[in-house]
This record gives sequence, structure tokens and C-alpha cells, in this order.
Amino acid sequence: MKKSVIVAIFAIFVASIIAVGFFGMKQVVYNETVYVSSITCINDNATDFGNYKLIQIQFIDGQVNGVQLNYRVEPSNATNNKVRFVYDPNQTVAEVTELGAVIFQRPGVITIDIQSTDGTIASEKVKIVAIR
Amino acid sequence: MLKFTKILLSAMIMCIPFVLIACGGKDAKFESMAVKAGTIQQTYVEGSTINYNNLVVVVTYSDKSTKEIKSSDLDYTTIDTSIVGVQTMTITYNDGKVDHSIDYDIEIVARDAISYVLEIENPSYLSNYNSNQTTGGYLSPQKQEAYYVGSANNFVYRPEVTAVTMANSAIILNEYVSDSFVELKNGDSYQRLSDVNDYVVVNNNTQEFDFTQDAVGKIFRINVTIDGYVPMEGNQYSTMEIKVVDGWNVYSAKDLYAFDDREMSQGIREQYNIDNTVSGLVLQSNIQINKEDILDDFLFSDEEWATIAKAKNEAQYNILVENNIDGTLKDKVALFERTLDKNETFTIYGNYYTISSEKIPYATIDTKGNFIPGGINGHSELFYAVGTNDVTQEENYKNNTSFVVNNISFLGNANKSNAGEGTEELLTTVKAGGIRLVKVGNTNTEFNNTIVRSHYISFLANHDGDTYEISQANAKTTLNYVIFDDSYNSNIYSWGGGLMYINNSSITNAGGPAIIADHVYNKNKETVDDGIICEIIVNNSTIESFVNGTESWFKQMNATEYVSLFQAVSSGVIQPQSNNTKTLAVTKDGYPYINIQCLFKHSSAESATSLPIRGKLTIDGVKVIDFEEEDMVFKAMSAQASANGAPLFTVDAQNTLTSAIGNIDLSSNPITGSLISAQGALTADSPFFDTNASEIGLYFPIEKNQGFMGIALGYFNVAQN
Repeated sequence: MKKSVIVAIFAIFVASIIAVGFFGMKQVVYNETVYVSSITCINDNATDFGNYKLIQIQFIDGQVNGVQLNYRVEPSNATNNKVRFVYDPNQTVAEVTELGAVIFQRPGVITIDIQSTDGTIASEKVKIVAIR
Repeated sequence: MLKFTKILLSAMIMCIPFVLIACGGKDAKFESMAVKAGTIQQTYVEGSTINYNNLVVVVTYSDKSTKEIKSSDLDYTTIDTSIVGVQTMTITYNDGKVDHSIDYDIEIVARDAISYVLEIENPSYLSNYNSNQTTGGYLSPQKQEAYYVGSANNFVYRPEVTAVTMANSAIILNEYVSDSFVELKNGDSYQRLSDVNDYVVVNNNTQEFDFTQDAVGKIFRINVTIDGYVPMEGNQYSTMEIKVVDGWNVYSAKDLYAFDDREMSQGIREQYNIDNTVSGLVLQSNIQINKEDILDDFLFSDEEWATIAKAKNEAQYNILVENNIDGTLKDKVALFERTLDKNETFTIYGNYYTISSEKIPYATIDTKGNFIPGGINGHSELFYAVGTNDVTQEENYKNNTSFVVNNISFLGNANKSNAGEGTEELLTTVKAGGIRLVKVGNTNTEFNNTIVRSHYISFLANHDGDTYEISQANAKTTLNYVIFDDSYNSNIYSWGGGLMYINNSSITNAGGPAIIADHVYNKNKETVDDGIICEIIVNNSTIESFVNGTESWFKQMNATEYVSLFQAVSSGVIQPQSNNTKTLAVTKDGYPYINIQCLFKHSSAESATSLPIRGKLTIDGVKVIDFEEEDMVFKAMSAQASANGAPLFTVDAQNTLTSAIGNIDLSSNPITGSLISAQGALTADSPFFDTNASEIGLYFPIEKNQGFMGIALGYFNVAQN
């Protein structure tokens, strides 16, 4: 390798070190995570029974019989505050959307676990009962 | 004078309320208390059992502050559930001076007040099991053959029964008598078992299924309904297919003591009738491990912690307490430990549940009794599995033990963090005393389809220094479809861990290198030619740790400068020489990071050391680090590098060692380092800058004419940024 090339490489190398040392680089930890600590169903008509909440609605034939699940994820600055609604995939009582809307097809019960998606076990179990 | 006096007195009187308010916090008085919603029901079915253990009362003080009081600190009258109607329980709290009492009404609903059973649902944990298999983030495409159930203790299968009362209110029946039958699967068909059989005993009062040892390995279908009712809607029976394995069903943290075989845990095992002669743990629920689940032997009392901590640094102690950080875990303890007997295999069947150690305290006092929050190096683990030393030379020191973990998630209390400044620094660096998930030693370990997040170290393969031959004969690890993520330190620490396979896995996002691999010398010989080395073979996996040196771990290890070094080499040498086609620095979200995949060093220190070592890292057939590489060019270059005290970079882009660039003399004062020299032509089209090259091996001498540390770095095409 030519001496001039070597000198050039060295000069660039030293200049880089000086530049980095003088200006510094932005320093943010990559992918730092704040985990979900709790999920709470906040529907006004939910009765708290400790390890689950119960929502009871009247099922009226010919009408749309539904409940929109509302919830709160804490802390408010959780990195991933998305939830999933987990229920028996073989149940036939209601349709559940990805946004937590529950539309009953018939009277009955559906149990939905509102769960975090960041690997924590934060969840809220909600039983929704539709009675004629 | 009088006018002035009047003014002064008026001012003083006006200040009195403010004085009183200012002192309110200190003299706050009991104002009221109430039962915390959800800690005890207001309605129970006749004959059911009330669990008072969860009862919590919230006390409100005159300054509007509140305090929660657990049931263990309360006195209360109990309810007789055989009596229908509204009953009143009296709950009393003594605040140290005075008794405060409230009444709480509970209604007992008659069983025959039930108008009808609306519907029977499968237990909700079955939904979780089904959901977790597909959307739980697991990597393996293969699903578990069936839901696993242990044979050592009862399996509870209690469908959730919703009834409707005469008043047209829904009520969930916590207890009921069931009707059930069990079928044995034979091929694709099911054979109903008679009431008396060799496989299972059923308790229809509690919906518990006690499978016998004869049932192990067989698949059954359980069918349960409520006795005496036909549900108005849905199916009459709740049904589930299960496979019986030799193991202890885990419903809560205390069941994990079925893994522990130490004398110190005998008391708790006897108290809860836990059998640890089993061959496995079978999770039946998500498990949250709390401080009260930990043996007292592994904790300082609150008083002990306060005494030791305050004597050393009261300010730091106060910061931790004010931020509800518990630093009472002792260092160098294993919460659950097992010595595997010869030929023993112990399996953890996760059923896709999660064991959470989020609430375990941190270690802030080292084994010498020094309070050093942020200075502990997390030596405590949740599980420690070690193969027996009871083997002979005639047996080739083989103990034939195995520790297997399948289909499970773990969440810890020590994720990677920015070091922070001031008070914030302590709140993050305290995680240096966080929990490691598992330490294994002298055994064949397999982790399959497992997710581990937020531990100080996810996985520690450990060599016991007194059992050199036994470690050498038995230490082996296979990780298949695992995710190790977000560790405060490294994801994997192999301390003389021997051979390790990492297949189809994701090892990412550590606060330090993704993997640290230590060569442990044989205590009796202390030469590089011996000892337990680390050989890591990676297939089809992601090994990544994007760092910039500000992570708490780097600060703790005083290793921040190394990241700066790599950034400088990248911008000063790699990019210019490659015509800006290759780089070590990758940009994420607008910020530059270095990907430190693996660090090889001597086991004698946690920081940099130049003791000669051995070890090997192969990624998808490419030799990234190999201290025993026989290639003549490599040997000559490494000898020269050692003599100069200069790092040596190697790249293997074509399954053989193709090219090594020359030494870059980066002495302790790099700005005054000597000139760069290169072996052969280092041009932009050199194989060293091959597009396919994705890792770069760095042999890094700390002192001249000594050994090297080995560092595997991610190597990127500039277009990837």
C-alpha cells in the first residue's frame, strides 16, 4: 500500500476520533422498554368480583345486543400498550372484534381476557352475560 | 406601637391555618376506611367457601392520603354460607392506638334461588393456552400435541358455570357438584373409562382429576358438566383433551418447590404436601412470584436491610424506599435448586404460560455485607439445575442428566436501561442486582420454544471449578426456537459452558454483548491448553445487541470506551476503505449503534483481561471467532498483532478464512497510535468488504505479547442503514 494512502487513512481515522470526541454522538439506549403493569376494564356497568368483572346486558331479539369493552393500560407510558382479547375460539355466543366490541348472537356468556402483548402477565378477565 | 402590635397579631392569626396545614401530613388522623372493591364478593351461593385471604381495606386519613391494609392485619367476623340471606361481617383495624371497625354486608343466595343455568364455559385458562400457542410470540411452528397435565397431584378442571337467579341476575357459581366422565384416546377414537379404572380418580365435588402413574404418556378427553342442570344455551359438557406426564401441576409459586431438593425447602414442601420426587413441573397457570414466596434464608429482613444500608449510604437507601424498590434479596442464591441424579431428566412443561419474577426484590448487599446498590453483578437466579458429581472415571464421568424446558415464557425484573443521571441512575442501576433466570451446570440442557425477557442474564451455563472432568464430560446446551431478549447484562453468559447450539432463535437486545463466553481454566493446571472452553454454534438465528455505551451495564463495567472505539474504527477505517459500502455502525431510529454479538474472554474477571484463551463461534457455517484457527496467514497476523498490542480484524465471507486486514494500532491512547499497516492489498473490492459478510471477528489484545479477547461484531452493508 502506498505511503500516501496510509497517511490518508490515518488522518481520516484521527479526525474521526476528534470529531466524535468533540461533537459527541446522540446517546439513546436502543429499544428500552417500559412494561405494562396492569390492565383494568373501566366499563361503568362492570361489577368487580376480585378475579373477574361481570357485565350483564339484556338480550332483545331483533336488536343489536352488544358491549364495547373499555380498558385502561398502566403505566400510561408503557412502550407497547396494545392489548389482545382472548376468548374461547370455539364459542358460538358472540362475535368479538379486534377493538373489543362484543356482539351477541344469542343469549349466553362469553369470558374475555384482556391481555397485554408485551410479554407481561397483566390482564383483566371480564365475563359478559346476555340474558333475555 | 399599638397599631403595629395589632397588625402583627392579625398576621400571626392569619398564618395559623397555614401552619396547621403545613403540619397536616405529620399529624394526619384516621378519617374512614372501606373494603377495597374486588377483594371480597358481595354475593355468594349457599354452601360455598369465602376466601378472606384477599380481603383488603383502604384507610383514608384527614390529609386525604390512603393506605391499604391486608387481611393478615385485620380482625373480622366470618359469614356462615349455609344461612341464606344478608349477613354482616365486622372488619376491625387497629392503627396502633385505636380500633376502627366497619360493617360489610354479604348476601348468601340460596341454591334453589337459581332459576336456571345459562351456560357452561370451558375454563378460561384453556382459551389462554390456545391463544398463546398462536399469538403468544413463540417461534416454533410446531404446536404442542396436547395440554399437559401432571400425574403427581390433582388436576383441576372446573368449567365456568353461569346461572341466573329468580331476580334475573347473573351469578357465577364458584362451587358446584359436577357430573363427569373421562375417555381414553386410542388412535382417532375415544373409549369411555368406567368409574373404576387404573388411570384416574375423579372428585365431582371439587372437579379434581387425580391421574395415576399408569396414565403417564396417554391422552385423555375430560368431559364435565354441572350435576342436576341442563344449561339453557351452549353445550352441556365442557370438554378438553389432555396428555398426562410425570410431573407436579403448578398452580402457584409455592408449587415450584417441587423442583427444589434442598433440605432448606423441606419445611415448605411438607406444609403444602409438595412432592419433589417428580420428573417435571407442569404449569397450569401464569405464575407471579412474590417476595412472600421466597424462603427467608434468601432475604434480609426489612430491618436488617435498613440497618446495613443506612450505615453505608442512607441517602441511597432513602431513594430506593421512596421509589418502592425492595433491595432485600441476598446475593448468590438460587431460589429453586435441584441436583439431578445420575440418569435423571427433569422437564418443565410450560403449557405456554408465563412465570413472572417482576416483583422479586433486588440484591443490594454483597456477600461481604456491603450495601452497594447498582454495584452488585446479579449472582442470584430463579432456577439452578446441576448434574450430579457422583460419577467415576470408569463411567467416563458421564452423569447422563438432562434439564429440559418447553413452551414457556419467563419475565424478570432487570431489563436493559439507560444509565441515567443523579437519582435516576440509582433507579436503573439497582437492576444490576436483578434476577438471572437460570443457571445450569454439568448437565445437558435443552430449551425449546421458550421466551425469556427482562432478566439480569437470561441463561448462564456454568462450570463448577471443582469438577473439571465432569463439566467437560456433561456440559452441553441446545437452544431451539428461543427468544432471549432485553437483558440488563448479556442474554447468554457461558462461564466455561462447553458446547452450545443456538438454532432458529433470537438472542437480542441486551444491555451488554448478546453473549459472553468465558474460558475457564482447569484449577489444577491453569494453562490455556486445558480448562472448559466455549464453543458456540449458531444456525438460522439472530444474534444482536445494538448498544452505544450508555447502557447501565457498560457504565457499570467501565466499558463505554469500547463502543466508542468500534464507532471510530467504523467511520475511520471500514467505511472509507470500503468506498462506503460496509460499516460496523448501524442507524436505528436515527441513532448510531454497534452490534456486539459475542465477547470471548478469560473467566478470571468480569472486565477486560489479556490472559490467553480458547473458544469458537460459528454462525451459519462461518467461523467468526476461532482461537485455534490453523490458517498460516491468520497465525502470522495474530502473532504480529499480539507483539504490537494491536487488534486484529477477520472476516470469513466464504466459509473459509479469506482475508485478514492488517493491524490497527489502537493503544491506550488511540489519538497518538502508530500508523496503520495492511497485509496485502486492502481495496474496496477486497473479500474483506464482501456484501455477504455479516459478522466481523475482532481479536483484541489488552497487553502486548499476551492473549486476546475475542469480539464478534455485526457487520453491515451501508445500504442497510
